[in-house]
Amino acid sequence: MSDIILELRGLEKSFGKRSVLKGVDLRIAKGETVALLGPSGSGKTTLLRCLNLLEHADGGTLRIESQSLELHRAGKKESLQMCRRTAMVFQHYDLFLNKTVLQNVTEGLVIGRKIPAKEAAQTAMDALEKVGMADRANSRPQQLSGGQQQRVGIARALALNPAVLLLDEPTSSLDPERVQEILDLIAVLAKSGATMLIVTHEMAFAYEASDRVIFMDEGEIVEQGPPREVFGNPQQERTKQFITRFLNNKSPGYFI
Amino acid sequence: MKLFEPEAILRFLPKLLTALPVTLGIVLIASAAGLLLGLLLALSRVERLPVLSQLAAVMVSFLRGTPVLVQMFIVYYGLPLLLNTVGVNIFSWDKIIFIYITYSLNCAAFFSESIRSAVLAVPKGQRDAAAASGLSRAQAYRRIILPQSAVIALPSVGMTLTGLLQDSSLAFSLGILDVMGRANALGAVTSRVLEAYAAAAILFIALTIVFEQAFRGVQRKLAPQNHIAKGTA
Repeated sequence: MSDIILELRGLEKSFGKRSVLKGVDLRIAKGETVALLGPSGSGKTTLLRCLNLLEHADGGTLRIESQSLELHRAGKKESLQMCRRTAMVFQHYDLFLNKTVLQNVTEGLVIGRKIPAKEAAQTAMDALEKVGMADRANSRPQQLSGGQQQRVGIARALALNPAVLLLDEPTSSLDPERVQEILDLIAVLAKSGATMLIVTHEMAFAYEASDRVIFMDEGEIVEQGPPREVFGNPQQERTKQFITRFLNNKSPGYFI
Repeated sequence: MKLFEPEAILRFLPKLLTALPVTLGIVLIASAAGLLLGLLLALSRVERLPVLSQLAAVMVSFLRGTPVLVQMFIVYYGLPLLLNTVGVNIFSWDKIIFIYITYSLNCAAFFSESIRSAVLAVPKGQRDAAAASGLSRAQAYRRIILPQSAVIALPSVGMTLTGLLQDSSLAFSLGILDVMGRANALGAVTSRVLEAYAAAAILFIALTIVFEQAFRGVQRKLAPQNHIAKGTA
C-alpha cells in the first residue's frame, strides 16, 4: 500500500468570498478505498469535483500517476489529460439521456479516449457485466430504475479504467433497498483492487468497506485514519460529535 | 361584373403557385442561415463569451423589438451605405438578397432565444458527466447537450418558422414577386383584388398546415428519446 497513486497538496477553492476548501492535502495509495465523511457543506463534493477538474481550483498541486498539475493555472489540454485519469460516479447518476445504456459507457471510450468502436463496445459490455446490467445494454436511461441507473453510472466510470474512481454520494438519491445493493457492488469493487475515493453519508459502509476514513469539516481535513480508530476512538472534538450523533442511533457495542 | 367571383380564386391559384419558389426560398434560406447564426448567438450568450455575448444580447433585443418591415428597409437602404463607407459597393445587388439578409437576421434572433433556453433546460449534470467522461466542451455540446436541446427547442422553432412564412409576405413591399407580390399584381391587373388575396390566403393556410404536420412528425419521431430528466425515475 505504499504506492501513492494520487497526491494532492494545498488545495484551495472559494466560491466568491466564501472559502470552501482551505489547503487540503490528500494522498491515496494504489488499491486503497478511502471514505470521505463530514457534514453537508464541509467541502467533500467540491474536493471531489476539483480532483476531476469539474471545478477550477484556486490553488494547489495535483499529481495522479506520473502527471503533475498546478491546479490554478492548468491549461485546457493538460486539464483534459488529468481529467481522463479519474472517473466520477454522480449522486444523481447523470446518465446521458439521449444515449442508450451501452452508448453511455462507450461515449467516453470512443470520443474521450479514441478507442476503436468495436473494442470500446467490448470493454463497455465487460463493465456492464460487472455491475449486472449487460442485459439492459440497449435500454434508455429513462426506462431504468434509480438503482439500475446508478449501476450504469458505475459501469460508465469503471470502463474508463481510471487511476482513481471518484464516487460522489452514490447512494444518496436511492431508496433503502437499492442503497444496500449499490453499496454491496462498491464493496466488491473495493475488494477487487480498485482505487476509490467515496463521499458518503453511509457510516456503516464507510466503517466496513473502506481502508481509511477522512473526516472533513468547514473545508479542512479534521481527522483521518483506519475506520476502527476514527470511529472507535476519535481524537478531535468535532469528529467525536459527528460520530456520536451517528452512534446514538445504534445499539451499544456496534463498533466492537 | 359580380362583386365576388369564387371561380377567380381557382384561376389565380395556379398563377400564385408559380411564385411559390420565391416565398419558399425566403423561408428556406432565412431558416437555414437563421438557425446557424441563432446557434452562434445562443452559445456565445450561454458560454458568456466576452464582448460577443453582449453584442449578441443587443442584436437579439433589437431584432425582436422592431417590426421586420422596419428591419427590411434599414437593411435595404442602410446596409449599402454602411458598406460603402468601408469601400464595398453592393448598390447593384438584387433586392432579394437584402430580403434574405433581413429575414435571416430576424430569424436568428428568435431562434437564438429558443436555442438558448433549450440549452439551459438540459440538466447541468449532463455537462458534468460529459466532462467526467473525458469529453471536451465542444464534444459535450455536439454529442450530449445540443441533441437534447434540439428536442426541447423543436416546438418553439416550429412556431417561429410558421411565423416566418407569414412574415415573408412583407417582402412584396420591396417589390419582390413572391406569393403576396404576385397576388397584389394579379389583383391590380384583373380588378379582382379580393379574390387574389383570398387565393393567397388559401395558399398560406395550406403551407402552414404542411409545415405544422411536418414538425409534428419530427417531434413524434424524437418523442421516444424525449428526456428532460425525470429525477429518480
